[in-house]
Amino acid sequence: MFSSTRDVSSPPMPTAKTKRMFFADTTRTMSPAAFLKLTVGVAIGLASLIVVVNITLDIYGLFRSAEGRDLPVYHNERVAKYLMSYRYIPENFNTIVIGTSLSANLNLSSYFDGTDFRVYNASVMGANVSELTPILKNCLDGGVRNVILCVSPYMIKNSGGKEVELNEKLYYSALGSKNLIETYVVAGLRYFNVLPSKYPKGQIDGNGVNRFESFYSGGSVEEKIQLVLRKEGNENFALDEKAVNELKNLFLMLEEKNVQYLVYFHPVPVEFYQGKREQYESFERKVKALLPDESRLINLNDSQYSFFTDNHTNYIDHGHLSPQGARTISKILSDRLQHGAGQYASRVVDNGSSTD
Amino acid sequence: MLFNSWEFLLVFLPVTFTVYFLLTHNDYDYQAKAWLFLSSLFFYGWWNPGYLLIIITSIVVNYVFVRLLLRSKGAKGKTILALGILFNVLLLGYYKYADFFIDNFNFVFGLGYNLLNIILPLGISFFTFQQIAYLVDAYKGKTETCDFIYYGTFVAFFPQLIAGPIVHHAEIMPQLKDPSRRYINAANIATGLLVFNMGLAKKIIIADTFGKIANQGYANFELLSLEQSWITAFAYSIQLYFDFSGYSDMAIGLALFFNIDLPVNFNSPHRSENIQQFYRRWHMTLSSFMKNYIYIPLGGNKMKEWRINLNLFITFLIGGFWHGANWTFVVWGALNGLALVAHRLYKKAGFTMNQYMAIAVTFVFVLIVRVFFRADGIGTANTVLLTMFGLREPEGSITLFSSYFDAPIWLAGVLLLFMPNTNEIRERFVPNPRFALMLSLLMVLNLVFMNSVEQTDFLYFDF
Repeated sequence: MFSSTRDVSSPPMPTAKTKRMFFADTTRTMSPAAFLKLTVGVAIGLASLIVVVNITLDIYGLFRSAEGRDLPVYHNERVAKYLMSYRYIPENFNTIVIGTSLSANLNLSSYFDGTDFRVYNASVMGANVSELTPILKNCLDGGVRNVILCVSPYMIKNSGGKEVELNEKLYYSALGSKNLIETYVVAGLRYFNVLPSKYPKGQIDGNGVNRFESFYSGGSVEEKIQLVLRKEGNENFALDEKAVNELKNLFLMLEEKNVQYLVYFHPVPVEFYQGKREQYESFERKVKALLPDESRLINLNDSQYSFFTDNHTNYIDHGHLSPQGARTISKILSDRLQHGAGQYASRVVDNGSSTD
Repeated sequence: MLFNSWEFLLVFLPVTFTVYFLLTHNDYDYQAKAWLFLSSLFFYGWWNPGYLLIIITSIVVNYVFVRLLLRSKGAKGKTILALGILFNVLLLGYYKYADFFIDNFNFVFGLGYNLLNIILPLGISFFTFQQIAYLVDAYKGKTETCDFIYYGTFVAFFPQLIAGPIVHHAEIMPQLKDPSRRYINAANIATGLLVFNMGLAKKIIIADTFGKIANQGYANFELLSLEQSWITAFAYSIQLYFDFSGYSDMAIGLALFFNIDLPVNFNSPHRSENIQQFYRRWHMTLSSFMKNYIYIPLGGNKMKEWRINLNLFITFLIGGFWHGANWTFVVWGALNGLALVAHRLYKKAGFTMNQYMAIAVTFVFVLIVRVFFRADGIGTANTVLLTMFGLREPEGSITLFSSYFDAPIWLAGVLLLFMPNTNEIRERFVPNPRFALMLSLLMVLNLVFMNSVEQTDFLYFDF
């Protein structure tokens, strides 16, 4: 089948001696067919080695049972939490908190000691509803039965994947990809405490809680609120209609999956809320209209929570919660989930079985 | 279908290759070419099956004109040629320039005709250009009688169909007909594998990495600071080179699998010491076509000095317009034309420049005019350029890159501009264990990157 004629690009043919010598002298010419076999063989061998190493390390808990494992997020929270939503989250947790950075530092686990609730924080910094939906869907498909959803205007300001589309293709990136290489590098940096200001050790723990507060240091909360208000003025939140529709579908998905869920409006400092009152009220009306069951909603900007929104020590800027604020909100949410928010929240459902 | 997609690499290419050589090996050479032609049409139709009608119509009509030209002489031949060229110009004009003309017509006369919103069919500029050249050469008696299948394969051959290299029938037809190229040639496959992988790495590792910066910069051009505007322009310049030369390398590598030697399209253009040299090293097949089918017919070098300069300018102006239906491309072409004229006058006056300085000046000039090439409008280009020269303050601030993980790739991209290029490495290539190891590593690196990023189109798909 091989041609006897050779074009100008063809290299010289090997001699018997070169064949014998080729491991001894890497510059000795070999036959093109042998070259191809060697090249493809080495490439397949190397690629297989990479795949085997990554499957063995399995930092996202994808390739073997993830039950009982404690997998922190090292890098690229968006991709990591999406991949963890396949197995790690549903195999280890029955409850998730999900939202943007506004809910990313909530740690509800400690409030559920001795109960059947096992809570993972699947929130993603800077995420929009298009990115949160596939994470939520995977978790629900995997058996998560209780959901706390943090809703804010930032979640529906835009739609579509911001950095990368979260879809099945990403699953295979866990076999070997640039993101994975970067993740190993960052894991190393965190482990050896190199560049702690950028990559602090244990920033996102095995429960998904993101301790990002140190990144927001500097300047008082009051100054930060005024700065944003000056910058944005009374400007509209300019919600993305596609994102709004996706949020509606997300609510419907929660209904269809027949899970226990709680939706809350993230509490912002009262001055900030007042500065954008019209926009917030319009946003809240819009979201309420999308909700199939309004009794599932907690509005933490309501006056009954002014003890929280009036106190700047609960914040690190115009919206993100300080550790103290995160503790308080975690307590409020866990209480509501355990002791009744409307007719649904008195029940804890663990992988489908009602416990009340 | 993208060359850097799994469906292309794991399904289309192996199937096309295997069936093609099964046919040739069993002496069904004609059927093999028909298979290659049909596979190429499938490759083209993958994006949008509707476009198949356009390319098939173009190939069939041009083939009829070619047959008529081969039988006609004198005035009749000239009329057929004119009709053939008119058909191609109208086809290209409708799909590529109609909205541009309507828009400008509306602007000049204050009218409000609706735009047609035609989506540019992929590669139409390339296959139209190739076929016009074929018609001209058929009229001049420079072509032989050809079969429809061979003609179709020449036009639609998938490695070069979408973005070149622009091939000339005199280079390809003899290869398609050469019986010695019918059988699998391991040497060509080895070379092709090397060239293809170098091209793939240029695209998915380097071009796409620089593309992230360029895209971020141009998406927020009003917010760029002076330094950021230079970084954005620089990033785009590097992206364009590695994207387009990467595509050309992949096309050359793929064609070698089928024992077809496509012409070299890039030869380290950024090592050029002047703009004339640059265009002898950049998109060489287009430069060659422009020279043979525009510049020389205009009179070429056999004219008075002012006319030579005018011809140069017109050639580049047309070249700019060929790239796209936007004033930015016209300005880009005009600036390049002026630079070529200026260089010609400079050289005639006997001026010289230090080699490194000359390379730097050429590089910076190319980088600056490419702002027009990349910007979506004259306004955007002006904003970026004013910022680059400190004549405009940014309206806010942005971050061009949020992490430094790509820093090794940025460095590699810059260094590779001045290191041995694909053609030079190909010349040095001998099948030995050292090359095998290097190629294996490159293949694995490409696999890792292919498994990492969203596939992005090649920049020249837009032209």
